[in-house]
Formats: sequence, C-alpha cells, structure tokens
Amino acid sequence: MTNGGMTMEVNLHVEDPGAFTTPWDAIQRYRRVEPGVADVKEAFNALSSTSAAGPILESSCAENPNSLSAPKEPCPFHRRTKPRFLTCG
Amino acid sequence: MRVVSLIPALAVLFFSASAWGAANGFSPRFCTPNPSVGWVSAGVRLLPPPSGPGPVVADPGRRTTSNNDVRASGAQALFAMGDLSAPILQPWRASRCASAMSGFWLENLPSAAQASCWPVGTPGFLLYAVQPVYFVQSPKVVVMIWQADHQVRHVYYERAPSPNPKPSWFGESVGHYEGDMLVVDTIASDTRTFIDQFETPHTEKLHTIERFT
Repeated sequence: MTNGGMTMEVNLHVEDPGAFTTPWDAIQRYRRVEPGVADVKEAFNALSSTSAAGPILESSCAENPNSLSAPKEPCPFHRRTKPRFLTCG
Repeated sequence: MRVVSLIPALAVLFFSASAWGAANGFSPRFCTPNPSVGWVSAGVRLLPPPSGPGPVVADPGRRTTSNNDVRASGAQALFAMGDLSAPILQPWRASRCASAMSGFWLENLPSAAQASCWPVGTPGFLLYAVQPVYFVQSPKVVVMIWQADHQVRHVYYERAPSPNPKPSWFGESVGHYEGDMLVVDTIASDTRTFIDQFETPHTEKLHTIERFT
C-alpha cells in the first residue's frame, strides 16, 4: 500500500494463448474508504451507495437494463407487456 | 437499501481474522484495524503497464458521452468500445468482439453481463467501481466482497492448484504472501466471464496472476 495506506495497487499478469497473441500486464488502483478516516465526499448517483465509507451495505442484484458502465439504457430493452407466468381462470 | 443485519457477525470475523493476521505477521492487511475499511477501484479500465504488452483500450475513433453528459443533457449514451486492433487480440477473438459490439446496433444484445447479474469473473472483478470491495482475511482464505451485487471471490492460501479444477465464475484462486504483497494465481475461469468491461472474451486456458500491494 502507498500514500500512508490510502492507496492499494494491483499488478495484473494475463496469459491465454487461445485468446491473446502474447502475455500482457495491466494495473488497477484502489482508494481506501473508511468512516472518519477516508470518507467519500463526492455526490453519488442512484446506482451507488450513499455511504461508501462503510459499513458494508445490503445490495442485491436485480436484472435490469442498467449497469454501472451503462447507466441509461444503452439500447432498447425488450420488455414483456404480459407476465411470463401462467394465470388461472 | 438498508444496513445488513450480519454486520456484528462480520465484525467478529474481521476482528478475529485481524488478530490472527497480526499474530502471524501477514501483510498487507486490507481490513484492519477497522472492519468497515473498504477499497474503491479507481476506474473501469485496466491501466497499461509502464512497458510491454498491455490491455485492450478504448477505441480512439469512437465518440463517447460521459455519465454526467447524459444526466445533464439527456444526450444519447455513447459508451466506449474496445479497440479491435489491439495487438494482443487473436484475430478470431477480435472477430467475436466485433460481432458482440455490432449487437448494440442490431438491438439484439440486451445489456451488459453485469446488468444481468452474471458474476463478473476474474480479472473483471478488479474493474467494478463506485462501491467498495471489502476484504476478509482469515487463516485459510481471503474473501473479497464487492458490495454492489455482493459478488464474492475466495482466495485460498498456500494450497496447490487442483489437477483438474472445474470451471467456475471466479475460477480457482490460490494465494500466498510475498513480503507486503498478496499474490493470487487464478485458473479455471468460466468462459462466460470477460476480461474487462469491453467484454473482451477469454478461453478456458486463462491464467491470471494478481499482485495486491
């Protein structure tokens, strides 16, 4: 960790001769979030936690047309106008 | 969304794991001394290395709009797509990427895999931002929890890889410490997962090594 324990770095090495012509490397960095120590001050959108600086929150995944990388319906999403299940009567 | 009721149990797990870690001197410790410590990834793209072959990057010829542009103006969302001329891509893999990307225009690709609740796999797990990843470090396993969908990876310590591991969403990960670094070796990743958010595909031969430091 660097920056006084506030930053973590991940060095990635990837090999897959079926998909890639050569092994390759990449980097990802993380910043620490911790209540009272490394609070998050940015305004968050509806897709994100409102208290990213802990504690861990409940968040279930429900299939939907949005994702973190595509927040506003990237392409028309096929919606059913009638329920998929059978009804009686 | 509400605070999960398992927090006291998680806190006990974090603190007992932390105590074990302190006693055994492993480093780095991602979750101590506070069980609320989380880690938010810096972005949704893998960064290239200082030298040598690197990851697929965004197609420089494609115009994009940022999330803020979309919110502010209602503009059509234009998302980055991978550069199919990336030298690391095998030609047939580039072709498959092109086919998948054309789906955006043919309207037959409903949405990203993560939006369909598919586990994001390894190393895709590194690229999910905004919400934190929490680490639980115990004597035999590191558990990584991405809060947004409660997606969970397990990294087992000091264990030899299985001779014929069954493919799974996050693959089989074994780890060890090298100084202040956690080294994670992963094989047997399910081919329904992707390398990155450009949905760069991989085969069953994918082998990744991650060094957390």
